[in-house]
Amino acid sequence: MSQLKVIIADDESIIRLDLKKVLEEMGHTVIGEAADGQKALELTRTLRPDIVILDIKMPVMDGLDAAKAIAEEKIAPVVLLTAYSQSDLIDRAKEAGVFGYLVKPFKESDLMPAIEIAISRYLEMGELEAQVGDLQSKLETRKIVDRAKGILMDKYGLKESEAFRRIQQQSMNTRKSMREIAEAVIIAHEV
Amino acid sequence: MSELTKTDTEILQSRLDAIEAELKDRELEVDALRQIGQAIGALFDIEEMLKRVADIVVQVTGTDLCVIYLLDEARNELVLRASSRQATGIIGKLRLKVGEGVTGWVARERRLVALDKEAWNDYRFKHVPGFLEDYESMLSVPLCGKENLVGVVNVRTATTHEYTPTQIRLLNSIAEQVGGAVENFLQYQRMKKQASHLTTLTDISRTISSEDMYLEEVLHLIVAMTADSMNFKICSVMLLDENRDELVIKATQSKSRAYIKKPNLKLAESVAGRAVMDGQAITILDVRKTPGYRYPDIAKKEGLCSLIAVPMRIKGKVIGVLNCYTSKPHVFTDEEKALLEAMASHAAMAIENSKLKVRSAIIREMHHRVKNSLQTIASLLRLQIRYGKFESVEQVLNESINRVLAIASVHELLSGDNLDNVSIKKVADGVLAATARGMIPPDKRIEICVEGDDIILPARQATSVALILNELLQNAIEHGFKYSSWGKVVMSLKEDGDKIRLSVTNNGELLPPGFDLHNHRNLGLQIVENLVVDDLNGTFSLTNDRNVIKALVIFTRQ
Repeated sequence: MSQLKVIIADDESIIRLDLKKVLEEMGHTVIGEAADGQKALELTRTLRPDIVILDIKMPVMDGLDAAKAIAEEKIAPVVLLTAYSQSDLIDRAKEAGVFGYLVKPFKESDLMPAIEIAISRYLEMGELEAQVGDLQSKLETRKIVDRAKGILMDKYGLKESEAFRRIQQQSMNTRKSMREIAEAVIIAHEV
Repeated sequence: MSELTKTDTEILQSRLDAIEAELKDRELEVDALRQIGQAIGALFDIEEMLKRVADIVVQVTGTDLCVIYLLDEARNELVLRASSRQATGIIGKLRLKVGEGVTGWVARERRLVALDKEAWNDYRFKHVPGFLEDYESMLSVPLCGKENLVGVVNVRTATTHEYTPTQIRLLNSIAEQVGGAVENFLQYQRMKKQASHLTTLTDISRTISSEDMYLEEVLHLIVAMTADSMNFKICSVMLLDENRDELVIKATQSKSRAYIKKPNLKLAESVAGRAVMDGQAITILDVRKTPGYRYPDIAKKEGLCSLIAVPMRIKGKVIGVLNCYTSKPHVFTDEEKALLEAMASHAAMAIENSKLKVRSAIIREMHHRVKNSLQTIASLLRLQIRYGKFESVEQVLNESINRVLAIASVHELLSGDNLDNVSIKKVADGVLAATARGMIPPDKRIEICVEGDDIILPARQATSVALILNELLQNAIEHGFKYSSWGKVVMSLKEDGDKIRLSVTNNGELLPPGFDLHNHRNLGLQIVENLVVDDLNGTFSLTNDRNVIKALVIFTRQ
C-alpha cells in the first residue's frame, strides 16, 4: 500500500509514540496527533488524512463520537483502538460507521491489515453510495419520462412508442437530456 | 268411661293447644329466620347487615334490646359491632376481653347464658359505665361459624323476663345463621386482602427484576407499596453498617423530616436492632409506651403506635430491617407477618442485585485498565527495540521489568471500591523497592529515600507519575554514579493546592557541560518528556543545581 497520511488519537502519549514509530517504519506519515476526540475531529477536518486511528476511551469527546462525526462528514475511514472486549464494541462501532478495529494490546502485524481493510471497505462504501445515487436518479428520470409520455399520448392520441420517440428526438435536437425534455412537457401541461 | 273420656278429651284438647302454640312458635321462628335470611342475602355491608339482624331479633323475640359483638381474633377481644338502639359513639369501640363479663364468658365457654333478672348481680357481669345499665334480664348466645366462634349476640329486657325455651331456641337458630354469614364474610374479606397483597408482591417483583431501576427507586417503591397496601403510617428500610454496628435509614415513604433525620440506630439499643440481631420479626403494640423504644418524641409527634420490625435476609445473612408503623394499636396477624417477610426478602434481593451490578461494573473497568496497561507495556517494549541503544540484554530486561513493576505498583493500590484515588507516596515507595532491587550494583552504596507530602492523584495521572519516577530514578542511578561508589538519591513530593512538584535529585556526577534535554537518544528521558508534556500538561527540566543533579516535574492535578 502506498504511503498513507495518518492521524492518531490516544490519551496516552506512550501508546501514541509507539503507534507513530510503527507507522513511520512502514513508510507512512503521521500528520497529526491528538489526546482527545475533539482535537482528533478538528485535525481530521483540516488535514484530510487517508486514515484515522482513534482510541475509544478519551477525555472531552470519546473515540466513538469522533468516529461518528468523521463518518457523517465522509472525510476518511476510521480504525478504532480499544481495550474494551470485542462483543461489547462491535454494535457500537457499527453504529458509528467504523470499518475496522484493533483490540489492545495490539500486535504490530495486525495494524496494517486493519488499516487496509478499513480503507478498502470505505472505498467500496463510497462506490456503492455513488451507484445508489446513480440508480436513484435513473429511476427518477424514468418516472418523469413516463409521465411526459402519458401526457403526449393523451394530448395527440399517440401510441406509447411514438410518444417516447418524440421525446428522444427532441432531446437529440436540442442537446438536452430526456429528463429535461420530459420535465418541460410536464410543466407545459400543468400551466 | 265417660269420666275417662272427659279426661281424655281435656288431655287431647290441651295437647292440641300445646301443638298449636308450638306451631305458632315455629311459624314465628320460620318467619324470623326468613327475615334474617333476607337481610343476610341482601346486604353486603356487614355493619348494615348486623344492625338489621339486631332490629329483627328485637322484633321477633319481643325483647327491648339486641346487641351483637364480633371477635377480634388477633387480640382475642369482642368488639361491639351493632345495637338495635342508637349507639353511634360506642360501635366499634367498646371492647371486652374473651372471658370478661357475661358476654366474654359466653364467648369462652361457647355456651348460652340466660338471666331472668338483675343481670348485674351475676358473678360474671362486668360493669361498663353508661352502657346497658338498667336492663334486668339478659340472654347471651354465642355466634359460631362452621368451627370457630365469630361473636356473641345478646338480647335484654328492661324488666324481669323469663326466657322461654322457644325464645332460646329461636335466638339459637338466628345465631347459627348469622354466625355462618359472618364467617363467610370474614373469609371473603381475608381473600380480598390476600389478593390485594399478592398483587402488591407481584408488582414489586416485577419492578425489582426490571433492569433500568436504581436501587433507591426500587427500595422507595417497596416501602411506598407496602405502606399503601397495608395502610401503614410509616414504612422504612434500614441497612446494617457492619463496621459501626448501626442501622442507617435507606428508604421511607414518609415525608416526616423528624423521622428521616433521626440519627442512626445502634444495634443493641433499638427495637429494629434487636430484630436484626435475633434474625426474627419483633412487634410492639404501642411504641409510645415501650421503654426500649428510642424515639418516643418522634412517635408522639408523628402519631406512631404499633411497630413491626422484620429483618431482611439474603443467603442466611441479615443485612437490614423493614420497619412498619401503624397510627392505631394493631396486632399483626401471621398473614401480615408472612407478607412483610416476603417484602423484606424482596428488598434484600434488590440490594444484593445492585451490589452485584456494581461489582460487575468494577470488574469490567479493572479489566479495561489492565488491558490498557498491557498495551502501554507492549508499546514501551516496542519503543525499546526501536531505540536499540543498550549495553547488555540484562540491562534492557531490567529496565523493562522496572517499567512493568512501576505500572503494577499503581494497580496494586487500586482495589475494591477505590478505583480512582492513588497515594503517590505509596507509588514512590513501590518504585523505589523495585528499582533498588534490580538496579543498584552490589559494589555501590547508594541511599535512596522518599520525602514530602502524601499526594493523592487519580489513577491515570498516578500511572504517568509511576513511570516518570521510575525513569528518573533509573536514570539517576545509571548515569549519576558511573564512577563514584556511594551517594544519595532523594525523591521529593510536594503539593501546593493543585500544583504538584516532583523532583528526583542525586549527588553523583553532574551533567556534562552543554547537556541538551531535547537532543539525546535516551529512551528513559524521552518517555518522561512525553508523559510530562503530553499526558500531564506539565513541565520537565533536568539541570545541575549547585552540587546536585535535579530532575524537576511540575504539573496540575486533574
